[in-house]
Amino acid sequence: MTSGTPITPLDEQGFLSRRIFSDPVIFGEEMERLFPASWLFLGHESLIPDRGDYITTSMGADPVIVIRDDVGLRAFLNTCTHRGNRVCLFDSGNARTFTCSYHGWSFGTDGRLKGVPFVTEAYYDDIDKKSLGLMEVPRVESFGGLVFGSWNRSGPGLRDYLGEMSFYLDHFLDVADYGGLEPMGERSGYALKANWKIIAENNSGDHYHTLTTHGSTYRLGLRSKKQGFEGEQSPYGPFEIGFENGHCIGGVETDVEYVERELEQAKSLGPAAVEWVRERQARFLERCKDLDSRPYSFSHGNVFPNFSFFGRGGALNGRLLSVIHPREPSMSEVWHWFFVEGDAPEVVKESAWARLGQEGQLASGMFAQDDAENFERVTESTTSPMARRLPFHLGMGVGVEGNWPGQDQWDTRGLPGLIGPRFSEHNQRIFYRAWAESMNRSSQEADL
Amino acid sequence: MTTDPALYARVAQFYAHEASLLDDRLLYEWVDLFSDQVRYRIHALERHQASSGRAPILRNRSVLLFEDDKTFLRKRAERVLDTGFAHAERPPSVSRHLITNIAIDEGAGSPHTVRSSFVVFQARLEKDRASFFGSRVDLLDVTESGIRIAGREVVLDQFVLDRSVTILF
Repeated sequence: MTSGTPITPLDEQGFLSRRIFSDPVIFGEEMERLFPASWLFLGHESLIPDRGDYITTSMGADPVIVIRDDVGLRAFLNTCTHRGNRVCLFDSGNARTFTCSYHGWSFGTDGRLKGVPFVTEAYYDDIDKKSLGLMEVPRVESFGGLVFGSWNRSGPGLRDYLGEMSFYLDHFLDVADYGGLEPMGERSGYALKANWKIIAENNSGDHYHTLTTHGSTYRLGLRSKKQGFEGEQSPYGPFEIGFENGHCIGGVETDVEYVERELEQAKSLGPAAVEWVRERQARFLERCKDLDSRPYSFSHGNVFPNFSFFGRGGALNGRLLSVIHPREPSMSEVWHWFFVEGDAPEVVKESAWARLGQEGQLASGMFAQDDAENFERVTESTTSPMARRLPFHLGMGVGVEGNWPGQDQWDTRGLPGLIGPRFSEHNQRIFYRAWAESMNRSSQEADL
Repeated sequence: MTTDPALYARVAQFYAHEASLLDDRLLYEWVDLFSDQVRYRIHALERHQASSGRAPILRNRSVLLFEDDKTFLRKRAERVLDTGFAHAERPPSVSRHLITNIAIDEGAGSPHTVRSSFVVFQARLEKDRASFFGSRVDLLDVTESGIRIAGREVVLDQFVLDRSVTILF
């Protein structure tokens, strides 16, 4: 922090200051320091398969173009180096040049300034084009098809940044074994009046909210209570797993008998779906044959700071990738891209997509509607003067972290990370500790 | 476009009635306006630049937010009205659906392809306001005894939506 005073919003009992969600100075520091120093999600490789394909997105508060060049995947700040106009106004497309609508400067897919109108008459042939290319994001790396970028020239590479989270991401993405990930539908998004951290921390865990917030889906029979919420913690999960640098697995199960549940669900989709669940199970067991415990079914998770993903189960639900764009202290946009497993039958792919908009996380989905309600009301509460003096209580499991009752019964051998039960707030504490550490690191440490 | 004033009048009244069911939160009655085989779809938009040859083709691509059959529409109604857990609509928002620009395609008979546009205002709690603009293309079964919606495609005139969608169109 430029003020020099370290920020310590979370105490040892799990009380968290509300100020960090509404203070504009803190938001400014997040945009200037935390986000530029981090690895930020740009998209999935399958969205830009061919030369010249691009998508536009944001890295924190900075608008960027993510493009596949001859060299590979690159990203550039979406601003003309002349006098600042946006050089690309589309969400996606294919281009060989980006031409500014103001004075006609044109840039190649490598960011180079190629064309300057009237360069002789206006500039007397005296302009250093080489230094006026689009500002390039210095590091762009991929993991399992996920593309990330960072303005930070020093610091860990993407793989090191992901750390132990990469073990789980690898299983979640399952790229090779099920025919790869195929994009389905276009990007969608919606705004909500919530601070980005309120959304990200919920995506980091919080099984505790599911039966209340999403109670309507249970009452409609869309979900069964048997999915790990009643009674004691099952030895097979769901587990909430946190990692040092703030990444979190919101939920994973090691129960390979989960496949029985999926076979039941698949019956309503027809024999091709049932056949697929069986086939996929066989591939999964083969894939994990050398593991002590098998991370079978993912629900959700978050890569610090703001990349979330949702799976909810194994064979029937596809993969939803999501970025939480911070726009204002009290406003964010959640963007979604959806993928299905390449080898899954059409009926499975289509029903997975339909369910996103019905029960799931699209703007129209039942989960998203009630989540947004909570996030907005919570964010509102961080703006009123007296409420700002009242901390949030993130104390669930504080006394037993790492030593939970019944922990020795859990089927988690060989699984990395701080593994906790489904009812816990250790992931939220890990998220905010990582947040504070990132905020407190001096600006000299990040080579921007 | 049809020049049959009687048909136009019936369709316009039907749409006014449909809008009032939505605004009065008579959602089960609203679902009953759809035929049993209906496919109800709502799209938002994405700005996509595609090039073909020398001239770039500029179009907005749609992204599907709703892909429901009648059973699921009924579940959406039940969620809001009868589970007690639809927090985003508890207390319920108020809405006002304005249906306009009704155009019935020239055709031999039922089902008719009918286009319309809408503006929907929504308000909730102290300050929450939203408005949705868009278009609908319906397949309407028009018979002596009544009108049923056999198909509906809605396009919301938005890219990143202003808020999550807790109401219907």
